[in-house]
Amino acid sequence: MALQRDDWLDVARKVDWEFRYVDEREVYPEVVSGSPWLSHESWKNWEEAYRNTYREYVQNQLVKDDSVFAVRDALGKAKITERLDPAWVQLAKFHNGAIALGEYAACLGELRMARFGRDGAWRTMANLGALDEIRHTQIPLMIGQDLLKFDSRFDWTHKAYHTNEWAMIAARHLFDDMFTAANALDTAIQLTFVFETGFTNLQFIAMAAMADGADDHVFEKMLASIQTDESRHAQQGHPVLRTLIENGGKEYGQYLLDKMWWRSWRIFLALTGTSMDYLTPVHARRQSFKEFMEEWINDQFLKNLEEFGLEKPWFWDQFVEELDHAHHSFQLGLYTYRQTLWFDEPVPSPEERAWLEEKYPGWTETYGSIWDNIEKMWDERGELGTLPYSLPSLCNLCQLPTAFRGPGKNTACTLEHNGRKYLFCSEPCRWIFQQQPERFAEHQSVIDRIFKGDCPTDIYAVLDWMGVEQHGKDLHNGEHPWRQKRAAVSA
Amino acid sequence: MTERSEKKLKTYSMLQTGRRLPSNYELVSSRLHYHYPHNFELSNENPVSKWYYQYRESSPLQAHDWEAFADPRSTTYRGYNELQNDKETVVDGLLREIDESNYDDELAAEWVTFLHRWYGAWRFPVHGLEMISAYVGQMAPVSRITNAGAFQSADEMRRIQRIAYRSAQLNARRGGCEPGEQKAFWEDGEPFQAVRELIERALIAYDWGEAFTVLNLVIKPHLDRLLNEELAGVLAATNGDTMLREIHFSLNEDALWHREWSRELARVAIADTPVNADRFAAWVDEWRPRAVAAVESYVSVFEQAPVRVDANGVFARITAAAEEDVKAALATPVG
Repeated sequence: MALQRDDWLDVARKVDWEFRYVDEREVYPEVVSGSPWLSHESWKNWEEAYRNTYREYVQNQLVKDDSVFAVRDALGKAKITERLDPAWVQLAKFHNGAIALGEYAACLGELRMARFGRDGAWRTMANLGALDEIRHTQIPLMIGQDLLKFDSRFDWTHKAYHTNEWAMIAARHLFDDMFTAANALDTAIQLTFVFETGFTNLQFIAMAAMADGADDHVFEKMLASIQTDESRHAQQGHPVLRTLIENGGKEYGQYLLDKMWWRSWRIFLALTGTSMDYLTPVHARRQSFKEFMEEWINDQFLKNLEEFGLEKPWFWDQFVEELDHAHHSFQLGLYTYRQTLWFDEPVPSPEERAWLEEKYPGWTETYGSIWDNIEKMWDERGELGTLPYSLPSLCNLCQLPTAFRGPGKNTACTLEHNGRKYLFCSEPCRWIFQQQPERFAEHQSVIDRIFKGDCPTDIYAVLDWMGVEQHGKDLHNGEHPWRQKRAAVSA
Repeated sequence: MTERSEKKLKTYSMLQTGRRLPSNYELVSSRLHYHYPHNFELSNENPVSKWYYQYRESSPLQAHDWEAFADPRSTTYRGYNELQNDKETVVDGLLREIDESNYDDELAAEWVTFLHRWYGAWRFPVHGLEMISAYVGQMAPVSRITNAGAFQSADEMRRIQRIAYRSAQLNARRGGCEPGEQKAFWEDGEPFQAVRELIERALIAYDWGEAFTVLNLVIKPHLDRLLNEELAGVLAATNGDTMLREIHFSLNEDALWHREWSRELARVAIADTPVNADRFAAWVDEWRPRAVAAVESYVSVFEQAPVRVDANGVFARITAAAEEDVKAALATPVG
């Protein structure tokens, strides 16, 4: 009779032994394995719930891939974007650029855990995680190439991470800090516990639901399928955090949680927040970004923290307050600096504005008036009137424009460190910097590079330096149907 | 859809090579690392950045164009699962047949004891190989090498899990060979100690070029033959355990691919920068004696099997074949 998995899997995963010819500290150096350094004795009970075998893995993944590619083949590589909402197509370009090679960087993080993770069961799980991340790179690369013939800016699916485009520098900075250049222990907590368990639910499940509403079934299938891998390999974080806390590392665990919560929040509001509330067609919006955040992250993830006796991050009140405005402010920044993007940005239509007011009471007063002004500038001065005249200021931690201010409130702040002045979008970004200044201090933001002469100052030369050949524009090229209708009525 | 038709691309701009469209393998595997060389968006003082800059950017093994390497099997993620699922289906069939035919009842008690002592514990050194493959993958300067390292690492997991399954299956039928006890043979059994020393020392060879060379040009050509072809191959069949040979025939297909892509990587590295041949040779010269010592020490067990196989012959076969492998890998490319 065939054996059950539990009859043999432990002896295949618990494969640590006592080193005789080298020291355990040499095999797992603290700089790549993580701090505090603990001997294997502390890690030997490492376990997670999925307990996938290699045999199950290759079989299951084949089935999953088949179902994604069946949708791609059935819908045909042709005409897929022709029936999609134009704003949604921008979302797809934004998402592909930000995600495809970021997933590949996560493959390195998984391989680091597969080598420097401290127990055989952990390393086994991470090894499968590395394969997952290869998958999450290869599927979007294939789908992105299908779309090139409709829009050459899907080139950014592959090229984005190789450019100096400011948003991509922000993404690289975050991911290098989170996993590409992080030790195994930090990677397990930052990537798999905070980012994947806490946040990627939102990106993959919620966006899949919206993709369904937007009729983009290839995108929907891809996201939903990727999420099934994420929820498996995200399990690595729990036992690592548990071991850390059991061995006196609770304070450090809280630090990693707070840091990566804030950093994940920044990237999510910038990518997912603006995508959900401005680039998704109104009829496809299942919930607002804020509602998703409250349901998925605040409710579900907070339960995880209780399990470990961890506190809410210290900046919780600021985070909750930002749910109402940060991505709306950021969206204005994206629109204003749209020439620096590889996708186009819309002005919200009257229907979208009504939806925004319903979901975010007070939106009209705070943000509607600014969009009114942008429309007025289009009326009076055309495109030039709507473009920026100055460089944005960028945060020296998250690398994003310091554009998260709430109504009447600017959260930016500064710090002097070793004779250099640093600017931050917010107290939490400054706090993160201050905890490990040696990790971040040398880095130069795009604006620092411009002032230092490392990149050009002329706007079009800057765009070339960023690799932005086809500049992002107003989605309607300034010909907003509702403005034209208004003009016709008043004439 | 926005109407903007500056120039239509057929593939990604960074992957364009003249008129030819990239193959599917090239499309999904090429130029995926943004951080090589010297391009992490953190201070250079960050310990993991420093680790990369020391062991990857400053490795003696350097090439102008690592992207010239292509996996001879053109392994994509989907292709990998297809291939391995087929192989695993074959092994599932063999393991099922063992159950259904009461195969284990026919094995000699001495052979069962032999396997308990000298076979099951191989999952420990193979886990070392898995770890080092994961290391080579994460340190490689280009993604095509990273992918090969990641898939190879997963192949080693496959081998560990099949050894574990087979050991548990045999114990369930025959008893007295509890896999949980086998670590002691690895840690204390004299014939294993040179293998253990080899693996432990290789785990801390952190220069990525050295790690690749030691793992794939030195250790695996010796140990894969020792385990898959000799112990679980010739010796098993000699002792009437042909099913073990069949299982490891399948596992050895993975090892043959590891050898194949490694040979290709060495060829590309030398064609790009001829002095790399000397660098490979220096690492091979340093490590081969340890690998040879490991084989020499372990083959003594071949004399302990119920039906013996001449240990000297095994030793000679493995070391000669491994030497031929290195010669072929480091041969000066023609043209």
